[in-house]
Amino acid sequence: VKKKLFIGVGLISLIFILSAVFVLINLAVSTREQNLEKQHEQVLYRYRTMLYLVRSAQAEMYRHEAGYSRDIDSLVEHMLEFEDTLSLVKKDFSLSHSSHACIGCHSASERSSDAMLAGIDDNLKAYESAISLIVTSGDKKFTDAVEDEATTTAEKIIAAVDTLRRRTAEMNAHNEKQQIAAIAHSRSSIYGTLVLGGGLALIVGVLLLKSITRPLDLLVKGIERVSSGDYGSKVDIESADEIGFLAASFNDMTCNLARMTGQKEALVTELREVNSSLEQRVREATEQLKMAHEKMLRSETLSAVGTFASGVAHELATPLSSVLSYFQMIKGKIPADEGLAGDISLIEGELARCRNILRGMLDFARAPETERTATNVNVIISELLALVRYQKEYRQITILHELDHGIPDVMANAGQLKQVFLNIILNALQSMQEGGVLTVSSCVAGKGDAARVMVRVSDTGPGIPREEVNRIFQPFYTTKKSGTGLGLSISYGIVRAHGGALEVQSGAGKGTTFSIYLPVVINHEGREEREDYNLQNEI
Amino acid sequence: MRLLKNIQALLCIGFLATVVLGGCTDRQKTEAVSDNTPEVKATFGIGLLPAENVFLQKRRYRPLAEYLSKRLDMDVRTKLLDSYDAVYAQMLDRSVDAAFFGSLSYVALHSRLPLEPIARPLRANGGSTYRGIIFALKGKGITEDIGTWKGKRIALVEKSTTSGYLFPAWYLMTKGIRNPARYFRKVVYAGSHEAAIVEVLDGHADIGCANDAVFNRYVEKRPRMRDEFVVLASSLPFPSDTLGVRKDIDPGLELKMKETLLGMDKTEEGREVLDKFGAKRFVVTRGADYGPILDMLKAIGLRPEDIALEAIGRKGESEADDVLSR
Repeated sequence: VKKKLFIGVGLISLIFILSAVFVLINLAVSTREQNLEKQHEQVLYRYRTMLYLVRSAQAEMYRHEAGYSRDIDSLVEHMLEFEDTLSLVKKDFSLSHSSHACIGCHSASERSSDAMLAGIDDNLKAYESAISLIVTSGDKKFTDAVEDEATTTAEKIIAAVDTLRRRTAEMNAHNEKQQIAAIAHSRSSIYGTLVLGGGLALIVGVLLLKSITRPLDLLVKGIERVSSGDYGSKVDIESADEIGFLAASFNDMTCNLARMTGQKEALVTELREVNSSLEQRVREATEQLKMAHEKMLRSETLSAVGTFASGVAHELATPLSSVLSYFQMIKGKIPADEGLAGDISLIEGELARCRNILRGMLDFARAPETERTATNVNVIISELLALVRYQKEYRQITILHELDHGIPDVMANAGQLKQVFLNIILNALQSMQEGGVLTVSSCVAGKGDAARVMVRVSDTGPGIPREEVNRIFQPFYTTKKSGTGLGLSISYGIVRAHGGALEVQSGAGKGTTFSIYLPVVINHEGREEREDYNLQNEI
Repeated sequence: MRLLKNIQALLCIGFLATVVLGGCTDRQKTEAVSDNTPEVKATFGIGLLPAENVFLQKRRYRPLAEYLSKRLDMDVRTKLLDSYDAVYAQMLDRSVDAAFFGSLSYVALHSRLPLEPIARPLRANGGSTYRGIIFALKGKGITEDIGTWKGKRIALVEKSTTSGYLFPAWYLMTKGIRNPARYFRKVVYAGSHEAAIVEVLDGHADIGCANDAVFNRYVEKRPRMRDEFVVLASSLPFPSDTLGVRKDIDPGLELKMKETLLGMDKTEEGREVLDKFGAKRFVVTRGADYGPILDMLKAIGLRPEDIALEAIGRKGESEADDVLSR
């Protein structure tokens, strides 16, 4: 803007300066011509004075010679003044020779004027000589002759002076014309400058205003776009002035703003994701905590129940064995055809049933430590499925297996594992009295050290209500009429004893899936086997 | 042109306004008015008789008139008049108060009008007087012996001149020649002193009469002729160019003028004026200095009042002017 302003003002100033120079030149010409005119007027005045003086001298001479005057002083004074004036004219003339302003006009008539002045000088001397003779001679005839001669000389002087006067007047007229022309030029220049300067000032002003307001408008619009949220908005101004600089800065600013906005949005998104993840984790942690709490409660309950059951079973096992032994002894003594056979069989069955319960209770309380070997669960599953597949009561059920034959072995007691899998499979089959699909699969869950063998048993049965899912592992909980409620409790205890985990997923009408996780046998260098898989966190 | 004049007029008005508004006091205004009032001074006219070049003569007298004006606090003016008759007339009507007189003219005018001689210039060549001389060319057999003059042609100047007529007439009379027209073969009136010399040189006359100042100047310009002439007779010195004033003017003024003239050579300014005038100083002229003139007039039987004033001064009487003309 400053540059444009400077250029505009500079252009206008240049016009005014040029015009001022032109006017000054014309003023100088006018002043010079005025001075010349003044000088010429002075010279003209002197010529007129000389003409007057020489004519007056002539008149004085006539008066004197006619006897009207004895006084020749005026005559002499006139001519002396003429001489003085002539000297001044010569001086002016010689000065004009050295003046550049005069050379132009004088050059043409210089020689003749010089000659004329010299002629005047000569004639003046002759005239003065004649006058001196006239006024000092008493010879009338002589003075008459000299008077005629003086008159002729005076006329020559008058003619020469008059010629010079006319020339000077002509030069003066020329000077006056030059002066008028210079003034006219100055006037034209001033008018021209006013029109041109004014016009240019207007154009420059409009252009300047446009050059300032247009980019400013663009900037304002850009700012408005930014304020409306378009942080990447740019203004298309490429001038090299302050506005251009401002626009470039604005563009840089919006670019930075857009980048920062992007970063901020990314951060916000990330934060949201983190927040969401955190919430999820909190929820999961809360859920896990809740589950852990429930498991702990369940574990404690189981432990307490186990202890209690063990005590009860231990206290009841002996009397029950006695009762059973005595009953079998009594049974042998009662005749088979007495109508008591049915009752005896019922008592015997119930006693056997009690004995089994007590055994289950003892098993639950003290899972025996058995020898564990590398066991492939697929083999156990296959044997079990082959056992149940062709049983009559399960014909209406489709049994599927999806076994991963690449699974590693697990370090386990094969018999106990078989008990667990059988218990779960039978529960599943029994839950699908109306038919369904039993799916047994095996695979490896997790990687590296966390890798475990997972066996999943799913049925399409009625499922377990949500409120009862947590109770299925409790001892003596059963939904079956003839169940002891100890099968899942014992299975749970076996899996736990193997460092594994037993989970259930079920819901009313959704079927039930049991997942058994067992630690794999990991062969490190030296074939070190790891067995101590810690399932504490799982439980 | 009109524009420039208007601008000039405006500038003048501005200037005047500046001057007036700038604190021009009443006292200053009064002074300005009084400065513009021309001072009226008494005039003192000095008559001059025309010399050979009246213009040079007038210029030569200007510094003297200006000097006297300053010293006497008067407007001293010189006035060229064509004859002593005119001088006499203007002295009578008091238009002229003084005049530079030749010796004969003074005597003639003094006989008609009371005059007082004051002073005369001592010329640059040392003289304040002139003499009449009678001369001839050498080798013509003409000597101081008047007898050798007989039958010769003599060139006089004019009858109104001291050197060119009065002195030769008196000299011849003293030598016993009362009728020159008979004694000489031809008597020529040359009209001027220089013309009389030329008459002799050209052989139109054998003997010439002239003012020694003119003669000396003539031969000084022509050194080869210096030895060609022989001066046959010479008069007593006559006072040249005496300033005579009317006796009826203020005696104090007369005295002051006399003292001023006589004291000019004592001041630097006076000496400069004298230099321009062509004189060393002014010397006193007394009435007695004109005794020889009167004696000569008496000897030839003329009275001063008989001298025609119209004739005096034309080509003869202002010898000093001729000599001093440059």
